[in-house]
Amino acid sequence: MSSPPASPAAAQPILPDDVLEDIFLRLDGAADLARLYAACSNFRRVISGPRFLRRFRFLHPPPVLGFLDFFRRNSGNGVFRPAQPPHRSAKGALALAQAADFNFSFLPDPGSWRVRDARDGRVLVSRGTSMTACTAEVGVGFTAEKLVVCDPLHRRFVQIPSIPSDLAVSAGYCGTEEFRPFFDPIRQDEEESSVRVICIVQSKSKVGTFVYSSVTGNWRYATSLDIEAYEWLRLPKLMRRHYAHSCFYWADFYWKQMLVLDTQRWNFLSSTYHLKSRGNTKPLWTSRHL
Amino acid sequence: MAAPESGDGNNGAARMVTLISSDNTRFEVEAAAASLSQTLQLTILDGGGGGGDGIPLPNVDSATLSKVLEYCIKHAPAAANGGAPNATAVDRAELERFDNEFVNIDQSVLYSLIMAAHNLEIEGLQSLVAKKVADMIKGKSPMEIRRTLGFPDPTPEEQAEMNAHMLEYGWAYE
Repeated sequence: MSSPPASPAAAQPILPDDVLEDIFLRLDGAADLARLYAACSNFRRVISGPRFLRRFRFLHPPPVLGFLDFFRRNSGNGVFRPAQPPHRSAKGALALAQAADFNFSFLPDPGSWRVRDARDGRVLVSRGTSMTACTAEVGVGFTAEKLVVCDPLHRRFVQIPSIPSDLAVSAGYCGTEEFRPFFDPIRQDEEESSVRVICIVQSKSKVGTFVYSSVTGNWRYATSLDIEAYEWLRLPKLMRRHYAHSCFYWADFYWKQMLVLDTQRWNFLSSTYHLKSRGNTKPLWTSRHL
Repeated sequence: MAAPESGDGNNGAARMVTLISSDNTRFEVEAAAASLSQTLQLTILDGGGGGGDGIPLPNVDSATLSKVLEYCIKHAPAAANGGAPNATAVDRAELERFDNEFVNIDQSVLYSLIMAAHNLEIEGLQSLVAKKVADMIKGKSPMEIRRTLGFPDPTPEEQAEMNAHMLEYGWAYE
């Protein structure tokens, strides 16, 4: 097998790109791909193609390298917690921790940003006015909040336009309500470079959803929920957000209630669950569309 | 070549087609085997390739074509059974053994097979040879990958690039 090639012509056959892709897709993971990338410029071209990368990531979901801990209110920036040995991503995690800039010093006025969400190598940060009581004056509050999506590894960022005041007004908000932005994960059939940000805005009477898509470059008002009938929803900022199967979940364990945002249909769902601890019964869910 | 009748034909003997390699060698095979090639399938369904006509394959030489047909003949019965839902574990193990043995070949033959499988669009063979090449380069350094694939030694610039990459992506190198 390791005998030297007989003739140079046979030695370096020019394989078509789709054949090379077919071969590279069968490698074990990112480390193999990285070494292959260094081996030859033709391979490098094929590997960096967006179509190939999308297919590769579909077959080899990127491993978790760590978490960005940004829950502490007064810490300003997040703290990256890399995977530790013996986790198999520990090496890559350490490399990321050394290479990336989690102080976001590449942003203008670095100290003024607050981390709002992190997912798939991107971090959502915001900077704006502090929360004040609702006034009639539009232009302070979430409609004036600056949102930036950044890539701490490559030290790049993209600014997202603020939610337009007239959109907020037409949806029935004054613009100063409680505001929580987070990423909507990009699905497998979508362009990897695209970004979608969801903003949950809460007034006294309702919870609304604004959605930004980098494909349209615009915000839209997606759906809302009248919360006056739901006592448990009045303090949703205390609830942690979860994501699975294109839905976001906020569960309140005291009230045994759950709010679900379905991002395929763009509607809210309220759900009651009963955790039965006796016997081997499973949690029972009842739900209704709103 | 006298493959047993798998019972899918309505009238006795299996239909045969003739394939002609780039160096003008004629190969007579069962239509079912040749139809593993997506490229040939339509021609064969249209009734082509029979009798004295033959289907010319100007991109495939006789050595490679004979190897390709060896694969097709072995895999045709299972393919005819629609992915072989009623295949026994023994049948499947036998095919697997055949596949492993089949790609245990000289590198130049492997490359010819890759191109033939690609041109003839034989799905199973395409993934078999792709997997073989992937297995050959898994876990290897850039230099070892070049040597395994028979590339010439890198130029000084390429070598410098490889070294720089190794420094930057140390995590990918054990």
